[in-house]
Amino acid sequence: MDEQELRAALASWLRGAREDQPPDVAVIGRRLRRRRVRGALACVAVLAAVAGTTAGIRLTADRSAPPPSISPAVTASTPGCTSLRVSWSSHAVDTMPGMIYALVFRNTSGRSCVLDGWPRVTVRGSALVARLRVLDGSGSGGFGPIEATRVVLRPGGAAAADVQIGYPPTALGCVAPTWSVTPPGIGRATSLHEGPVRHGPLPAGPVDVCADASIEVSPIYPGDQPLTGVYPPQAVHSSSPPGSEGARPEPPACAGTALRARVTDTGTDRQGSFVILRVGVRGGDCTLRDGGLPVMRLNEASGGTGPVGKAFPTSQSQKATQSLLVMYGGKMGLPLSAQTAVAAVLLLPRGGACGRLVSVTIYPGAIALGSGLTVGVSGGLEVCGRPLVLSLLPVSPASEAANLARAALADWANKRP
Amino acid sequence: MVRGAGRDFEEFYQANYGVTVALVMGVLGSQAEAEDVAQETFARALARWPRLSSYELPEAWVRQVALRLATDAGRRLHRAIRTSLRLRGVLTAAGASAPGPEPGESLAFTALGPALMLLPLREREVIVLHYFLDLPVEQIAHERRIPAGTVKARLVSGRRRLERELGRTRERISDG
Repeated sequence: MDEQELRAALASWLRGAREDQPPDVAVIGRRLRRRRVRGALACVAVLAAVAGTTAGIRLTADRSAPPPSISPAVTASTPGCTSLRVSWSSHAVDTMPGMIYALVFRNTSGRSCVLDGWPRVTVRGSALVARLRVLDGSGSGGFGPIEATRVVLRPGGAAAADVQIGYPPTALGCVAPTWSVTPPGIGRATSLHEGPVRHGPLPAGPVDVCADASIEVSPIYPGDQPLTGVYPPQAVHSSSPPGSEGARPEPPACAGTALRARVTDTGTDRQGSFVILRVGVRGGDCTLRDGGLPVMRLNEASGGTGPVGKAFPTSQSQKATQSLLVMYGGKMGLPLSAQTAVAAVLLLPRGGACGRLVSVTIYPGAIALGSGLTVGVSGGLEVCGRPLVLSLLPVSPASEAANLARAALADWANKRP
Repeated sequence: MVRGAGRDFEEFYQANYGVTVALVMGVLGSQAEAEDVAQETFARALARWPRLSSYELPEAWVRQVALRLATDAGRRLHRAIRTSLRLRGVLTAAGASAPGPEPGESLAFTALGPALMLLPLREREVIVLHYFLDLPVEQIAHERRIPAGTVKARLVSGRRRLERELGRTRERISDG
């Protein structure tokens, strides 16, 4: 059958389906409402489960409740934050109830300070936004149980508050409004440094709202990215870098020729195999970019261009990676020097046709092009399907990378249909 | 700046529902499943319509979501379909469930669907996108987030496999 025949055969076979009359659009609307009800019920079930199992988490933030216990030394000596830079986080999370953005509050003073409670957020602009109300999220807990937490910000450290914008299906027209933010404990609005935000898989752009949208704001929590899961409350969280080294000049980007790496561990279990490499540089300090996600190409015994590992940053690995990242003037970097090294983890899940792994090429940039460092891998590990990579990890404790690799393989196996 | 008011969801839905059902049916082989996936896809599109409507190609988003949902459904169904077809015999299944070829139609017209279902999902996807929707290789690569070379390889291996399955069907027909 040539191409034309195949096209004709497909068109003939699928003609009936193509001419299928769509059900009334109200059917789609009802289906959407059912999905939302199911989502809300699932959310309630999760919250109930969390309530039942985690005694320390309050399910809805309570402004009148006493703050979590904190050390007297911190309460006595740490003032409230007054010098803050407020901006949107670099990306948002697309969830079923809507988009979740994070407002990031960065301490620009030279000393530690405390942030505690809800920021006040208002929107201004066209008549469309005049109808919108911003809720503080303490009632419905629509985006999850983010606990009101007293956050101690070191100089340059950051805390965040989630802003969830729900899109009603009937909305027609969206606007990019003027956002005004008053951090907790400060009696005046702070100017918001706005930049393009990556809307999940959607193109970057301003934070906009649509007619009849619902807007809810969470209390302050430690971090600088939107939270979508359960945030375990901590009595006191000292925000560490990124940010605290903001004044440090950024070293140049690491060149592929400057990399050095060796395999430190391999392992195989029921879900697949993993390879752990210790990656460092020779010569002076340099930076790896792109949020600490390594780019690795696998070279198989059969030759040819091998597959590139797909980024699979788990929440556990990202948490571990955070300690390695430094904010340089708004850009996140992972500094390396002759004295420091990081662990790169390659995961080889089971499934599909397999080839034998002979070496891995690690690249310093965001794509698997240009000069990279090729490291031989012994042990006859099999590459089956798409390999995965975790975000870069600290090299110590030595067992952590292997534990995270095993957990990620199990996670991947569970997520596969 | 007001955006999104110019594109009406219902108009978009009416224009794209049929082709979405056909796309998913090409991948799943079942019109009932395809209709279910298409409706779920458009429910998700409706939830995001204010933003989606500002896209240059909202139908590309719909294709992506529909194929993702079809993949999820297909993995569940695929084994059952394969088993069923193997048990009944592809030809018998095709001959029993589909009307016989019209004068001037080749056997491929009636046997194509069952034979296509014997291909791996990823090959079915690119075959339907390329040969039914006429999407160029580069656009499929972009939408599926795979290299263009992989798309070409899947097209080649998919067609080869399809030929083989159709050949078996012909043999069974000629055997009576």
